Amino acid sequence: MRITVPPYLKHGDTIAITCPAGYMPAEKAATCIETLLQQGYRVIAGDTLGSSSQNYFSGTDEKRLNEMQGFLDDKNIKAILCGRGGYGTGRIIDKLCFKKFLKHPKWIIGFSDITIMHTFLYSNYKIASMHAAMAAAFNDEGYKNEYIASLLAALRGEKGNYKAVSHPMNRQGNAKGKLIGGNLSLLVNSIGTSSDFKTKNSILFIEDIGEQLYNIDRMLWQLKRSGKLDNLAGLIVGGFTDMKDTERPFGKNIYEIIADIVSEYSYPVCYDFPVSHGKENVALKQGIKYSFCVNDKGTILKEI
Amino acid sequence: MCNSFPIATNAEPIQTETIDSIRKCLGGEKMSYTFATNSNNKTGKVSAELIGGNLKTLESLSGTASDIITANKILFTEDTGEYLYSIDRMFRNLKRTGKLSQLAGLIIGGFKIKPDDAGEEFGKTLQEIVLEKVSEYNYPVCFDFPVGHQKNNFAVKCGVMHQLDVTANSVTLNSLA
Repeated sequence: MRITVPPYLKHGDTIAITCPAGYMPAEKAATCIETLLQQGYRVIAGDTLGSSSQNYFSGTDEKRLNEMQGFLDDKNIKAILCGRGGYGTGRIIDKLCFKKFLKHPKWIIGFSDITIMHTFLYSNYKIASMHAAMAAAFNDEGYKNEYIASLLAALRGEKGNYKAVSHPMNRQGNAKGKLIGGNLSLLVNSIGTSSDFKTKNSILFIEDIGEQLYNIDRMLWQLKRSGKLDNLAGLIVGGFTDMKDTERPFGKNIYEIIADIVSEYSYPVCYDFPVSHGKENVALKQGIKYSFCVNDKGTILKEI
Repeated sequence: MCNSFPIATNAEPIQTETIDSIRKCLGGEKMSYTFATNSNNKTGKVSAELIGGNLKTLESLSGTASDIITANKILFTEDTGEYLYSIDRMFRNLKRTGKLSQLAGLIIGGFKIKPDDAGEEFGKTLQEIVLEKVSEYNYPVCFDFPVGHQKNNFAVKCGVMHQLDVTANSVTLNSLA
């Protein structure tokens, strides 16, 4: 299965910003736009950014769909950076037409709710996409940090080479495989749909935010029961931030929950990898092959 | 379940009725539930097998050995403590996995909705969320069916043939066995 890698960005190329899900005030993307301009890119901000919407969404389904469609179709746009996630991409994804996009593939960038887009592109069209920070991550000095730097480097075509510190519960080993994953809630929401994905011989990465521990357990069991954990090359556990517990405690922390679920397999597993809803969020290219090495010194994830 | 059983002396009539429905089901009686109409209902009369349960759990069965097949069945669902956006996402999952396209009928039970956070108002009601998913289909749909995380949680027989009759004035669900 050959993966199509969209062209990397050159000086003067255009990046479009759209919000396919939740509402985002324009000022929250100002630093992001400024940074991209300073990098020598042109930037088009769609109407869904700082829109007149009065509810949760950045615009009606039709408005969000049309804007994304226009950016997909416009061959002068070389990358689409999603402003933020939230919820809403799944409401429009099956209505998008990828005909023109397939002739002129471009990088789709985002995470969280955008996971559904990544798995869709990978499963249906074998096109690589970028799981990375979105516009708000540039704020509060974020544009200076290594995570935004990883996104900018990835867009230029530099190969990712990430290290994470050792975690006592890591399972050591070496693996190579295509990288696939994203937000756990969205991954399970994709199962059985047109965004469903295969994980065999792949390195799966997962992260989530604000969920009950019992719900994390349920989602992992769904991955397991749908056969998505048994033939992995490796598992990368990112940040599980802001976890909640029930009044009567679940009885396991997030690391124990995951370790139990994968205890019967032998592939390498690492915890606290910098992919998350927190600040730590390196750019990962979905569908691209990486080598994954977990040993007592730590974890290395390197694009091949 | 066991935790629905109140201390006998404190039982409210609706709780007694709910628990009595379990006894009748177990005793082999054909069940008949009639309840008030909701202005969002879509009318129609169908006979089909009944299947369903908690929405979050139905979603979490997708792709697993417990996944459900809903074609030509009456699907019922309920949930508690979920945000509207999450309910929308779960109904999208049902739709995107093809579980809404060939139903005989759809029964929406109780939904205890977690209030939207300030500034994150979803902008659609539960009824709107459901109706937009099924607007292209013609099968009957009813809301406020007395099943859910609530006191009026009547026993229904999953996998058994039922007749669902949604009219302008009322809704009736009869088990045919």
